Amino acid sequence: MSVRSVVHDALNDLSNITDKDALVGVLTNMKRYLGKGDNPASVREISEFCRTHYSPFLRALVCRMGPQWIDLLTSEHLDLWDSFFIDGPADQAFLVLLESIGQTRPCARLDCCVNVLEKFLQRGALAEVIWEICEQQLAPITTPVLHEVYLTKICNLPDYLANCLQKNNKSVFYPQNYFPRVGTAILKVLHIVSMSLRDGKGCSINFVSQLLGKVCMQGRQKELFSVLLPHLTTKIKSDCIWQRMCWRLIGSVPDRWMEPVIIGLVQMLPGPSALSQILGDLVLKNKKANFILTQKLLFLQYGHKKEMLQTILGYLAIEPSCRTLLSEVLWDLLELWSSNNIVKHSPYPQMLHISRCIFICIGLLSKQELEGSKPELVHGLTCGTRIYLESSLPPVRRLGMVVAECLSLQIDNSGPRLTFEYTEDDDIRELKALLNPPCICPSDLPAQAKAPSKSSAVPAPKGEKRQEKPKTDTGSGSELDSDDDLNPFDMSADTELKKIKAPAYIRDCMEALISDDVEKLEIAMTSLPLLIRANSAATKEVSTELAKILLNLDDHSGIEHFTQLRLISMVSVTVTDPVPVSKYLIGEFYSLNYSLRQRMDILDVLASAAQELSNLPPPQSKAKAGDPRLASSSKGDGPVDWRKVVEERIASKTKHFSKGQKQAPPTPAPNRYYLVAGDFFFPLIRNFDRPVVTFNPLGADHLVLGRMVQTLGILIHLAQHAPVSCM
Amino acid sequence: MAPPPPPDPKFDLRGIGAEINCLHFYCKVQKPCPPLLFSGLSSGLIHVWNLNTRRTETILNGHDSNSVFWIHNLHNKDCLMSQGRDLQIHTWNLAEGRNEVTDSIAVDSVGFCKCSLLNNGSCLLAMPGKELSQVQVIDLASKKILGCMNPGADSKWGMVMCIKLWQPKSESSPLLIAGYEDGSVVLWNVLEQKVMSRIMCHKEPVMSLDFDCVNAKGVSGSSENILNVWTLDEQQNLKTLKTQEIVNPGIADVTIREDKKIVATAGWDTRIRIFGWKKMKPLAVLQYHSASVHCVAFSDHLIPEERLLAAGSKDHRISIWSIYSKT
Repeated sequence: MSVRSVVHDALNDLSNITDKDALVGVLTNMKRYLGKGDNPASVREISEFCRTHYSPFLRALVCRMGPQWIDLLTSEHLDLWDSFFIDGPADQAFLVLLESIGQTRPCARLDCCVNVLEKFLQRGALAEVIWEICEQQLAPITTPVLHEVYLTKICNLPDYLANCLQKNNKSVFYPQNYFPRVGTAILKVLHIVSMSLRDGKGCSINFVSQLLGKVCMQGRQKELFSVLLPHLTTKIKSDCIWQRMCWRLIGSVPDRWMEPVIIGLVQMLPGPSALSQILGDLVLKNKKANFILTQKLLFLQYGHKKEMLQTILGYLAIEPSCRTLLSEVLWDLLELWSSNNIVKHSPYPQMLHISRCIFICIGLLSKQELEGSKPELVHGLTCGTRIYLESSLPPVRRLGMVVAECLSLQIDNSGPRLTFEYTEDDDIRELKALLNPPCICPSDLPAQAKAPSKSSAVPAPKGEKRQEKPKTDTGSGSELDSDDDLNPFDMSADTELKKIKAPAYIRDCMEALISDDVEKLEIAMTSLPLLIRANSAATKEVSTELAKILLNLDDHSGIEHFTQLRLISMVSVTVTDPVPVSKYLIGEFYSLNYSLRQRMDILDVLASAAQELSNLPPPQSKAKAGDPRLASSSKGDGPVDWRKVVEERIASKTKHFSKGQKQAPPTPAPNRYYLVAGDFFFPLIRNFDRPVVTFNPLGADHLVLGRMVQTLGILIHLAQHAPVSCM
Repeated sequence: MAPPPPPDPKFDLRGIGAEINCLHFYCKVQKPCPPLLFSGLSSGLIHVWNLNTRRTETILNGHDSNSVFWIHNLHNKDCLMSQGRDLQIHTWNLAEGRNEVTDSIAVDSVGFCKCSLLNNGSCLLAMPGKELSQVQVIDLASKKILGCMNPGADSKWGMVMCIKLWQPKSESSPLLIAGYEDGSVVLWNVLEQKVMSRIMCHKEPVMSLDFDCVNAKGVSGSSENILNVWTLDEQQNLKTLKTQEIVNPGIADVTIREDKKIVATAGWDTRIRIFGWKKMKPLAVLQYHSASVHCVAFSDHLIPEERLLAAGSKDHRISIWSIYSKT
């Protein structure tokens, strides 16, 4: 008997039943399909029932429930009715319950439903609902509308029930009791997720992130995070999977809810290190989070407590990758602080807020970083102080004085500094206390950064000095009154200004070559030959493309030595990857729409490339030639061959008037040209008698023909001694 | 011992709102009078700075918003000459808080050349003339043209870029050193109006030059990355003495301090460079400005320790430095 017909029959029976035992019998029978009871149904049947018949069956149960059934079931069997909601798939039961409560006027049925829902929540079934949806989100076909419904139902449950039940609401459904339950449910789901991740299963926690966001959006951060955060922080410390999950959880909160989540975290977490654990480097990855943390909370809102600011800025200071952000924040703060508008149009609390942020930033930044921000500090000090001092409000004036004193101290620690006379009040004392950060431990990081820079800075001047000494000696001999009484300052910072960096990769170079930026083009042209030679593998990947760009490059920008640079680059490409490039170039030589100049260039490139290929490969042979002498002279420790020593001494004291004979004859070696000579020669000679529309070597363009014959001659000459088979 | 780091500016002057084209100190004053710094701006204004209060005393506006590119005191601190892009050279009377133009001379040249003033009894002013390469020297009292130096029709020296008028002890005629667009530096005899010597110093137009008449030695800068030092021997021939390379090309202004000890250059690379004048030994590279430096000037304080260096830049700021003052 199929599940469908069983359910159909059961529903029919239930509508006509007037007998207690029959009712209990039918219900107990149906429980089989939830996998409960003495004789549970097969797995396939259970899944079919849950998938298609569970929700309708529950709805039917709710419809039938009334005074009659309560009488029939009595209190001991009422649990049977409840168990259908508690033991089945939680997500469907949850929806049916909420739906029924919404549709039912106050009556016995409503009471039953509310009781079941209470049990449902107390059992912790909310976690099952969330987990169920998380799993559904992994399915190939997702139902975002349905998930949206769940999200709304879960988040609005307190309001919804309060509306439905009016004065009869239960304390379980009060927000202050309900949302901690949501927090517990989220923890439970995260636990399940971590377990299944450990088993190597994929999981989605997007829904959890959405839930988190939406609850926070409703202003329930306190209830939610008071449960969530303590557990989360302890778990994170011990478990890297939890760490990753937590970053993902916060990171995938939709942008529209990111702000309440972050505000909640910042408010609830004890300090910057905890925040850093929870957020990771979210501020770098997520634009919205970045905006909230570095702009909105610092610049646009000013009601926050100073602990919160310390947490935010401390977080930026702890994350090593965020420290530049901290400097930037300080610059922005200084700019804002020193702007006329803020003094004129902002209330005192906002000015105090900005000053606090500045003080915290300064307290967090290292000496070096502050040194780097000197121009901004000076600018802020010089522009801002005057504006504050001109204000008619005493607290504003005082604030300006305190900040100016602090800034001047940072700009020049040893030199003269600003001091003002003012009476300290609580605000001022509190501000000054902010300069000493309470709980920051990035000291190891700046120390590391300092150490290498010092060590690298020290030896350089020494070397310079050594170079200078002999110079001054000779100088004093020739001219007594020189400039020596004027001691030079350190000029190591005087480096060449380059607006654009030379490209480091061939592909970057190619991009620069086709750009319109003249400076880029020039730098690319000059660095190209070296790059080609240095990375022959990378060149081979793009050789023909590069040759194409170079061949069609026009000297419209007036770069110095343009033609030579281009020729050198093209020759380098051809030498690095001779076969495809020569094939391409020769193909182009006979194709349409090239100027005579370009055709001649191709010939030049081919000839020069062949020349270079036919030269001896230089580096190895040289090293070998230089080796024996070096080796013999450096052999100090071993047994000394006296004859050799004597010969060497004689050799060193003998003057040679002609060095011609001394040089060893060049060692013969196969060159690289003979392998590709054929690729150069034959394609080039092949087509000269087939004129095309724009190029007729045998006719008007005989100039090119002459050059071509010359090039062919060069190619043949260079291929001397090459075996014919290779040609 | 490692060389000390370069100094920071002593202070800077801001709120100018325009590029600073030229600077001129007047600090030869007795105590109650404040030392002054005049700055000519691209907005056509001339700011008069009190160096004690570091604020502007007066702002002169007389060039119709045309850029001012040369200023100099004539006899005393109350008499100022300024050259503007409106092709006028104004003489200002600043005595007792006045700021009025007492005299104006029309210039025919639209070039870049700044004037040069020589005060040896009578006041002589060298200024670019009507023709491209022409320089005129006039007597300020009588407005009479003393000399009109024109290289001749067939010479291709280009525009005159910078001039320096000076009076040698041995000669009766004042001499004029002029840098031209083709990179040459020429020595003229003003009264005889003839070329005494000419050397090619640069491949690019000479942007600025200064001459030390005590040691008969001068320095010129162009848009290249070299400074050229040349001397004048007894036969009044110019000879190249040394070319000093600098890291980044472009010299907008070069000036020798009055005690002939150091030279300062204003670089297009935003840096001010200091060299020892005797051997052009590089002494310091001062970095402060964020845009190219247009001009440098040394102050003429009576007490050497108080001497200052001022630099005006495209970034609307004047930086004031105290460097090598204790010698």
